[in-house]
Amino acid sequence: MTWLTLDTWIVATSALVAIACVLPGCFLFLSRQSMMSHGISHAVLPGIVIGHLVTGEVDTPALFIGAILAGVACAVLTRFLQRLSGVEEGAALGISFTTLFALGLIMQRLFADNVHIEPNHILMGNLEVAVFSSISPESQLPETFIKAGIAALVNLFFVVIFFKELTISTFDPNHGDSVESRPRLMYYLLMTLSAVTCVVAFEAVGSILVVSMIILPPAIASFFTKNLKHLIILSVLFAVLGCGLGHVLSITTFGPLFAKAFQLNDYSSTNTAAGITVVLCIMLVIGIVQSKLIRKG
Amino acid sequence: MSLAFALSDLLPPHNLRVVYLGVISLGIATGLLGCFLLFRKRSLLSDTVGHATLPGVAGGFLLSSMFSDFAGKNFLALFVGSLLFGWLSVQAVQFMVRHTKLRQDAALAISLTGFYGFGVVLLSVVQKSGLPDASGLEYYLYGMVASMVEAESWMLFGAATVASVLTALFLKELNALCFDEGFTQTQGLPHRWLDQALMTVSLVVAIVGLQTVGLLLIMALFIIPPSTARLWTNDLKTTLLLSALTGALGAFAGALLSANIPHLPAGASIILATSLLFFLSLLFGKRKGILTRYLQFYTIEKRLAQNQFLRAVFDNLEGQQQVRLFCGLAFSRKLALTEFHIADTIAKRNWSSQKRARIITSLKNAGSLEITAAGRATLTEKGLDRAIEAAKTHRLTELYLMNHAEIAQKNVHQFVERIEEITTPEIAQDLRAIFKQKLQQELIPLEPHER
Repeated sequence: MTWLTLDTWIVATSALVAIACVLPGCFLFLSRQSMMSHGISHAVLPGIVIGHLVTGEVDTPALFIGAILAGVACAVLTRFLQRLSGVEEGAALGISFTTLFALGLIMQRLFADNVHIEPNHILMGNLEVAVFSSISPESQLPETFIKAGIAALVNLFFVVIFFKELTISTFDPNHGDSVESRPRLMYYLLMTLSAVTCVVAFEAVGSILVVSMIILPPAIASFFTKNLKHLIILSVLFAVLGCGLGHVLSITTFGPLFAKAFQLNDYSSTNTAAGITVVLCIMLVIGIVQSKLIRKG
Repeated sequence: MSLAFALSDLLPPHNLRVVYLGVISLGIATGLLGCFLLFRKRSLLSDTVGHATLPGVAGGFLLSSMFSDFAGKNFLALFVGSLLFGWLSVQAVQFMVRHTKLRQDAALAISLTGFYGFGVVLLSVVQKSGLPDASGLEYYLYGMVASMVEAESWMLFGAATVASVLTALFLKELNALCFDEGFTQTQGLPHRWLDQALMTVSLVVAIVGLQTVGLLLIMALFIIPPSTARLWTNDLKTTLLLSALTGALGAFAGALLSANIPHLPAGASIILATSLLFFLSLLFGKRKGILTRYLQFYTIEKRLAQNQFLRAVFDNLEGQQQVRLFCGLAFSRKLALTEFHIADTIAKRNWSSQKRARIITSLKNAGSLEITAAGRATLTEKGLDRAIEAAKTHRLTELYLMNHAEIAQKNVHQFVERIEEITTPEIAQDLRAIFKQKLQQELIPLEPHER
């Protein structure tokens, strides 16, 4: 195994992305809205396309803002549909995000067909490529690293400042109403931050694996603690550990393992983001087994 | 020759017919099966299953290229692989929900990304393996509607037929399963077996559909038509029919639009057409539509306000005559049709002047009231009938509450006001039956709490 500077950047970037994801993720997990992250990560498409249509460029903050607005719109629409039509939450989410995604796809094909959005890149992401685009030619500092760092800091501030309000609105929104801790405002703030995080994490890990960064660490941590603060700290630790192990296994083990299993001659590293997901899943299984053993013992 | 030629000219070209048959079949199959998923609160399972098939696709490809010499995507291997991993993902979700403290939403998300992540790992092995024909495998889950071939279309047709037959045969059992699982068990109905059968059929439809129309369209078709049907009805059979109809209609409309507008992707336009049906139903649906419910609310509000107004007129005139002329045996309709002063009559109600004007206008339009001079009016014969009816029901309700619900005399009035809006003609009929004897003595009882 040869460890390059690039590998360090990959692990550092993925760890920052994971931290940014986990912080809102703990509250999404606890308030039973795990699938919301999946919905948001699809629903950002119309925002990106509208951002592009308004500005006429591909690489502007307008795309970023559009994506965030569309993500929040998905959360708002889901709540609205659930309240008005009385369908279950999952169905409401399914309706809103498939509709938004279809809307985005049609707008892209009809009005912005020249902009090529690679499904492979969006859906699976590519950390190995993302770290190549550095902020300036001289430095090696990847742009994604900076973005993920900012997102992680913002999320950290949010969670620290509004810890009490978030806790109340997560566990008992009705109580939140009675003590004026603004549970609905908290809900929408949380959704906004989730959307921001999803968009940032998008480039690095893709729209589907971002869900694993958001939900898996809190799920693993939930088998080890019942205290909210401990849950958040443990989640962050598990996420960072998962990123390190995931990348190491991706460049050393997974490739040869499967190449051998399927009798292939050539092998090399596999997708890091996916490797992280697999490692987190293994950690979850360990968590489940551990909790079963403790209950028996 | 000319007739046959003209007919074939009218029909859409062959490849389009194939697409229409395929998507309509798919719409029917998912519409039916989606209902049961929705009833069992498992709507997003189609999403999880769809994503979780990725390792099956990649693994199926790797295995088939390992064991067979001929290059190319072996359809059967990919299909069996997808089926296996789709099934595994469902089992994983059920395991997590049943045996750990993870909730359904988390279990769905974990299963989705876990399997997908594993799939991406396998896929990157495929991509770097240098195997022939490996490119394009990642697009396998994002099928193209427009390039549907005849065999796929017939497969979807078969899936729709199987789904319809199964639903029709096991309607009773499925109904019990969806709404009362415990009851199903006690009745000795095939509960486990049926649940597995339902999941398997849904899985097969999802995976057949996945490869032809793509992941997102499949889940949209599983979720949106049943939700649309639920806005119209509570009845299971009607829900199933409406849902299948919505699925078929949305799929056909979407495919039709995409065939006629260049660059319009078929999958996305089917999703949009179906969700348009949903949003229309959200407005006009008979059971839950927003406008429908608003209209109902408005009608009740109006009737209530009219009744309150008429009752006030009745009470007031009754009081003015000093003797209870209207009541008992000495009831005189003639006296009841005297002119009254509107503002004095309804002084006790704190209605805004707009609301008062609205009520008076609506009563006038209904032919119950006549304005005789500024601020004065009389009841018409019809209005008097309604007023008597309203007063009678009101007083009987009060009597009922005092005699049977043990509510104190001084409180009874406010209770009646509260339940007045739900006092239907049927309830009024029941009340009359209860107080039959009293009504024989007096045509209209007196206000009980003023006695």
